[in-house]
Amino acid sequence: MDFLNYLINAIDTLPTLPTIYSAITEAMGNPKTSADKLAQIVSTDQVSSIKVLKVANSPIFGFRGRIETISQAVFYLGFNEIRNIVFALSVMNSFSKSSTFTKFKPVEFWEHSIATGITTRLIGAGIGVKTLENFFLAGILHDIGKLLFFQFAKKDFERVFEVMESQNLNLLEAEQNVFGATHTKAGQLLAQKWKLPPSLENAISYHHIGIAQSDSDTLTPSVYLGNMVAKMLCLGNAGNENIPRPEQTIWKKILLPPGFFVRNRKKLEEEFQHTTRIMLYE
Amino acid sequence: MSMIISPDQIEEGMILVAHVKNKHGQVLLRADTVLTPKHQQFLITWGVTSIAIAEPVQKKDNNISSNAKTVQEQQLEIRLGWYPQNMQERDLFDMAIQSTIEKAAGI
Repeated sequence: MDFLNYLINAIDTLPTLPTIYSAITEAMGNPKTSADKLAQIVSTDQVSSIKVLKVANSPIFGFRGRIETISQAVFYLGFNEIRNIVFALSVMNSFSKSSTFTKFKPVEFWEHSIATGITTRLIGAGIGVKTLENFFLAGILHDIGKLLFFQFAKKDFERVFEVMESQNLNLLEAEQNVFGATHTKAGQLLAQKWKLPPSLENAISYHHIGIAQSDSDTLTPSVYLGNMVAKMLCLGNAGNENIPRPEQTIWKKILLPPGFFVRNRKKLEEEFQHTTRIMLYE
Repeated sequence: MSMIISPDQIEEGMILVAHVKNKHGQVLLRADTVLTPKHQQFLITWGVTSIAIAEPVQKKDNNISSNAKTVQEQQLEIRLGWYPQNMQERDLFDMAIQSTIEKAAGI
């Protein structure tokens, strides 16, 4: 059995996403579901609802400290954003954070993912995207394939970093060398297994290339840049510090105002501190 | 970092960091607008008393010695293996350099 088949079977052993997430998804499939009904579903899980409230109040969404109830969170943020927050929190709980090795620490990995999520959303807002719902989640999930390697093939994943150093390869080349597959491919498999929307699957699959298959897709190039900015600012560490020069086609897709990154850097770092505290440490 | 100023303090090229809204919550000017004398005239006519603008980058640069900036720039070029060749890449570099210098200075 090749490694990808092994991985597909192994994904089945991951803890299932909590019932609250399935309940929200099911309710959203029903056009008659009201905001109150959705709030009621989220509120049935007290632990999740407290976290959802904290994240909804984080500066990322612009309602800092003003959302007091789940009903208000649903009203201000909308169904999709609430489902995405529950999803992000669930995924972060599905993988172990305790075990580590020198080059890869899950907590630092999630810090990098959160930083990428915040930056991706900020870029989306900067280029005038109206529906930003998937931008934060896409950043959170972009490197999820690495966690599959870490969870199901830890020894070999450790070897990836040794191969990177000894053979002077980049991460994708070393993964291909050791596993016969990259973390982007592994992440794509998980996205398909979880039936994520195509825009998220593309962002996971192509976040190292920056351009997805569809011309209208601004999510993938935003994640590409978000990933780069998180690394440049050393916010978290996903085990790969290599930052190649941006593909020049990116700047034709992502038309940001001049000085955008310098102007938003402080805000980004503050949002990162706030959100990592809520999502990882509280 | 942002700063609050009154419309009569506007200088051309300043950038809004927050929407300017009227008392009904309607957006008069969007965040990220690069201000011109015409905007200043409108804001005064509309009776706006304060706006939030991005702290001018130049002002921040003055606080950071050019020597420190050069050193950080060289270190960043070594770390990345490339140097900025267009406006957007320059923006990314300046962002990272400012962050490193401020962290080192404990700001």
